[in-house]
Amino acid sequence: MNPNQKRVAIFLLAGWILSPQLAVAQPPAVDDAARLEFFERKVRPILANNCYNCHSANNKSLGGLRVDDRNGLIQGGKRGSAVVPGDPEKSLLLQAVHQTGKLKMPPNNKLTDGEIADLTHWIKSGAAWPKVEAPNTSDRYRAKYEKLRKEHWAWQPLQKVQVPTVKDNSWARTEIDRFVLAKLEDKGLTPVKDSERAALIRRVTFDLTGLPPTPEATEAFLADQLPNALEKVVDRLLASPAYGERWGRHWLDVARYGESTGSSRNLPYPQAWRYRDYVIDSFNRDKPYDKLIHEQLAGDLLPAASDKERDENLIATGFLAIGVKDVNQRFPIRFFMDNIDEQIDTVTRSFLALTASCARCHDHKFDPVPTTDYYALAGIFHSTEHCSGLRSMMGGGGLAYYDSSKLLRLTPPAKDTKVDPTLPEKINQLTKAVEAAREDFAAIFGTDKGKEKGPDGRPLQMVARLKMQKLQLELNALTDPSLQGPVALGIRDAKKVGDIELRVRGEAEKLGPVVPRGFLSVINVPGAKPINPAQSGRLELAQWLTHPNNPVTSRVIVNRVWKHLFGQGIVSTVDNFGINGDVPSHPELLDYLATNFVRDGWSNKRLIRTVVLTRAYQLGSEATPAHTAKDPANRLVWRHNPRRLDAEEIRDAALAVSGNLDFRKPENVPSKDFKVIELRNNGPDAQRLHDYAQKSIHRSIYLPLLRGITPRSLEVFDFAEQGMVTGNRETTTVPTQALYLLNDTFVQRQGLALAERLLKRSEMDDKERIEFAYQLALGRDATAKELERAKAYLSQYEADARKVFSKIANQKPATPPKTVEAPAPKKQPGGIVVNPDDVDTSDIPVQEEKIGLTDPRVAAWASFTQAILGSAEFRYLR
Amino acid sequence: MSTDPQKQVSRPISRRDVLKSSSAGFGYLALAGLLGQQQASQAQSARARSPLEPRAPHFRARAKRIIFLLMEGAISQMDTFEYKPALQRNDGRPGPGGGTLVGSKFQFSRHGQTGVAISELMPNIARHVDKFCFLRGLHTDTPAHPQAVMQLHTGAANATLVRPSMGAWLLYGLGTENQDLPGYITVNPSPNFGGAANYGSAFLPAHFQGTRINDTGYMPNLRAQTERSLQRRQLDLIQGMNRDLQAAPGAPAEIDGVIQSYELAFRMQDRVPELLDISREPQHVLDAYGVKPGPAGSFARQCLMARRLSEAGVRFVEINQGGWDHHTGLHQGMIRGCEAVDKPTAALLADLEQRGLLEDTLVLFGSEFGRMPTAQGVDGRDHNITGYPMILAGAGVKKGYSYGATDEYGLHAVEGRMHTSDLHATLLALLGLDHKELTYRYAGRDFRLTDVSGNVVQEIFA
Repeated sequence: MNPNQKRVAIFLLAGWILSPQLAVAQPPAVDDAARLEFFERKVRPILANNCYNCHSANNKSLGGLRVDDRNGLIQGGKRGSAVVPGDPEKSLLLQAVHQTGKLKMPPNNKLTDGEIADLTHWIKSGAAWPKVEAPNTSDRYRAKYEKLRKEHWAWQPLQKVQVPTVKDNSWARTEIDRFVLAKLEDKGLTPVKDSERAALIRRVTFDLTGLPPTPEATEAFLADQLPNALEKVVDRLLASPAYGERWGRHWLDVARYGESTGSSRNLPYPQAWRYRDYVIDSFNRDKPYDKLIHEQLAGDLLPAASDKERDENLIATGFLAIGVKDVNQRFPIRFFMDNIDEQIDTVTRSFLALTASCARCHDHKFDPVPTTDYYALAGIFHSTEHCSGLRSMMGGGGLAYYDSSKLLRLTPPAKDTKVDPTLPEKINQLTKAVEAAREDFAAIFGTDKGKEKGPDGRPLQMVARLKMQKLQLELNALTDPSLQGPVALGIRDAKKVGDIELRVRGEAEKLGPVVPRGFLSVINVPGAKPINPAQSGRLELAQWLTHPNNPVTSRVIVNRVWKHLFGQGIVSTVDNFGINGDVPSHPELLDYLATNFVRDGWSNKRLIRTVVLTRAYQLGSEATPAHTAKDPANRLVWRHNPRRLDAEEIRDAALAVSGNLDFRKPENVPSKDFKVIELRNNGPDAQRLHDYAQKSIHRSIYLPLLRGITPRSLEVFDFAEQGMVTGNRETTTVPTQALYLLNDTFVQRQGLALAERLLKRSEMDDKERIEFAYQLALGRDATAKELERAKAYLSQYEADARKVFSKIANQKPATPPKTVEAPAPKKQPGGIVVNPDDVDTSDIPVQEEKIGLTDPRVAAWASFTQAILGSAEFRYLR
Repeated sequence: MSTDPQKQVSRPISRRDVLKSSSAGFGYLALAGLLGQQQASQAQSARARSPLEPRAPHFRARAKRIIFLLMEGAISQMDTFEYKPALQRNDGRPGPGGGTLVGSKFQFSRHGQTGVAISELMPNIARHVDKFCFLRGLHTDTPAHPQAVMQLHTGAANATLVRPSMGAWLLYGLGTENQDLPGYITVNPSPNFGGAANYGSAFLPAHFQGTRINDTGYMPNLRAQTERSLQRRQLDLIQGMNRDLQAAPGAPAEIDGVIQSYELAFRMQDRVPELLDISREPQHVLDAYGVKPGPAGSFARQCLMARRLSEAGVRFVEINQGGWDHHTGLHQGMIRGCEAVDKPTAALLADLEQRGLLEDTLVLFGSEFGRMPTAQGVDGRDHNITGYPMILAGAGVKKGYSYGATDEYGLHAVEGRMHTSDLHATLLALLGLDHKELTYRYAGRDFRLTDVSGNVVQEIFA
């Protein structure tokens, strides 16, 4: 280690982070050719020859400092600005090259007095630097963009549509039905038969709550011959808490919900669950969708009548804070701009089904989003402080990435309100002690003295470091808000708000012209409020999105709802309404739904209720060759699409029918207590999460969902990609799913529990037990053939199992069931600066335990019930 | 060794033969004994009906299987395999299509008998240059990753109708050599850029879709929890229920795929655990590939898994190294990326050759498109869809051969131009399939991988 590296290492270790100075000065007028020439002739060679090796984009950029870029110098590294234009006194660069203080640069060398004088002169005269040319490519696209804005269906105002007339007036029950039927009639198609009622209650119960109907509910529905029988079921389901757990999960897919950063360094978001609970609660209370948008984008800027409401508004902004983040970055500005990009991507895809983040580096190649529009939005998020409890740095272990100043304090419970009057003094004392300890450590680290063994046999530098760390932890305990009361992840307006410069080719440091904050020009929203210059502009962005004249937001959400109820959207590409997306199969219906949705107060429950009470929703799933030939993908809704249950539904249904399901929200989830320390996919914390998930009996939405550590029960059935907005999950059919259903301990355990549930019913005989199993798991009666098959299966299996078990018991020596031992957690590589590529992040095999059964009758029943859980019918809805 | 099946009979039984034939080996014998004859014959007849049974090609196959090494994100050909002296000479001058030409910062030198120039970033791959058949005139339609990656895998980038992936078409046409393994395995695929559609079966039956495994080879739930005869009995019950559902009106189309996946899963329990366990390889093999834990060793592990899977008869294996989208940070990014792929790729080629597998295995290396000869920013290159290379090696293709060329700067393909559909037609032909005959009727029309285009480039056939 050369002295320079050593010094940087000390800073990384000690966590001396000055807040990055994001104030960027405009480059001076470049007409002063002489100053530029001076820079090129005198200054750049000094920087290139003495500094680039350690401080440039293509090399190491130690300490987060780049000297090959004007903004890199002005923003500086971890110590702050290296150059303050016009003020040599304040420029750290000069202090370093004078080598009068602690900081001595270049290492092992000193610039000549002449060189120092040139640097000083350059800074004093404004630090001239050649201006970066922003390519004006917008001209290339202007005409194309103008045409698309006027013509592409998605961005046109909502059309006032007439409910179409149809030939067959007896079929349609609702106006929506008329839209559907009219299209079918155009194609010469008629809808298939209505669904059987048993299939219908199963369908609607899963669709609205993610759970199977109970046998009692099915029975009651089948017995209810009144015309409003389904309406009563729907109202009951919409009022149940399970509704929010199902539809909240749909939103969490869109919100790319994840409880960790998920990038090269996976750091937990221990408070992300508050946002999840907020979403569930909001759906259960049927919070209007426009309000939901306002709270998620600008909850911190909304008025609140109570502490509770204020807390809720703050938690809602977690939407913007819980994305994927790459904290392992040298340059704070890149971390900052990457997070802004992630927010823009999430906001535009989720609410507008538009891929605006493509315009970060260049004008959008397909959709009319010029780069200037991107930076108009970026200005809003640039004026926003990201509070996800994290900072970026290059390398670092332990709590190095944790920044407790980036958390939102919530209202503490009443009992905790007493404040220790001596607290400020304690913090003051400790801060001084930490400083002193740090200086002691810095003084001996890497020196011969530091390597000497102390009285306890440990090197003195280690003793000094431990002392420093201990004091730091004590200080953290007094200042970390998460240790003092409830906190949330979210955002707040930055101390400095304002417009920002376009970044040429998306490079964070390459500034182009300033772009006024604003919205996307692709959607014309007459009457939208301009941005309040005193704030970030998030509130006005939310208002623009939900303005009655914005046609896109409402189209996108009603299409998402339609997709979840019919299996495919009216626009099949639910996250992309742009040029590369699909066109609507029923454009008039889409506008009808969107218009009514806004008119009815943006109520999701009302929309869902209206849609499921249509005759179209209640169609059977039969396919005829005639229909299939004309419309194989069922775009026109001549039948109801069969669908495989989502991962959560499969798991929750297994728990529900086994009788194990605990409907309450779990309290003891291990990830809530995680420190903000890097997680390894094969580390002990990941193991704890897997073990927890494997044994949990709560609804799947409450499982810990740290990125890259997806619970197996969810991963195997195409869980949402947590990296970005996911309005449409995949549905694969692969042998890993069959292996899961045959061998996974979770499935085995639910099968056994269901078997025990049946066997406990002493008043039943085996035939009744089989019937009950079919009703519980499949929502229907078993046929005579199925009863016979099941009875034969149980007796044969029991007989075989008896033979096999006795054979095993007679084997000598008796070998206990072998369990696969999880490999011992590997040691985190030591040292201070860790290259993330050297950290083993491979998955750990989940500890596989064996459920050993010894009673042949129980084994037979457990095998039978597990077979039902493994059958295709259990996981497909018709 | 010839691909003539008659000649293969006479060669001595190899490790590969044992590996491939064990579907009727110990596991099966044990099973038959435990089940009693009746059930065993049931299981056997279920297999005979399997749509994954090997099927005869349309004409003589030059290759039996493919390993596709995808460099997702578009590796810079200008800094690896496309040496353009004119570009180096004109570094800093305006390019013919705008922008500023920028030569590679890496040194190129000539290798092998053929004297092909390869950059210093790929010293190990360069040793195999005489095996290569370069396709240097490729072009595609969309300069955006999601569309181009989808097009490379499925032949189309149409959002409204996702099409079956190349591997699914191969299974549909040829079945699979080893009934104990998925015929199509994709390792470490990106969740983005089309995600599962890139290894999906779309409207083809679901059992033709690729099985995804991660880059550690760990696959959970491979160990049966019950004694195998009992498990077979349980599986027969499940399959009985599944067939009932399949026969019912309104059954989901995927039920046949569910049934097939259960049979395959049952057989996989015997074979897959040892097959994916690369730690069973001798140390010198692990060293040759550069196997190590963590992301830096991902591609090495994938290469070794690819060899093991191909050797066991998997028809189509795809492995993936991403991170090549160097709009910025090209220099360091290329050094790092090439370090990750160079040694393992070379080791894979050497290993395949040594085991005789290159005789019937075709290796494909490349990206969804290429990068520009002009600069983007201070240290980057933008996408180029108008001319870029891919590399073929192994079964059925000429050795030490180069087909097609780009202009003097490497911007546009000017000779031997091959569209993605031509690549697909040619790959299918190498496996003995006529891309115009390999059709599937859906939505009232016959679909094929190459849609309405595609020309077989016979010039590259050995």
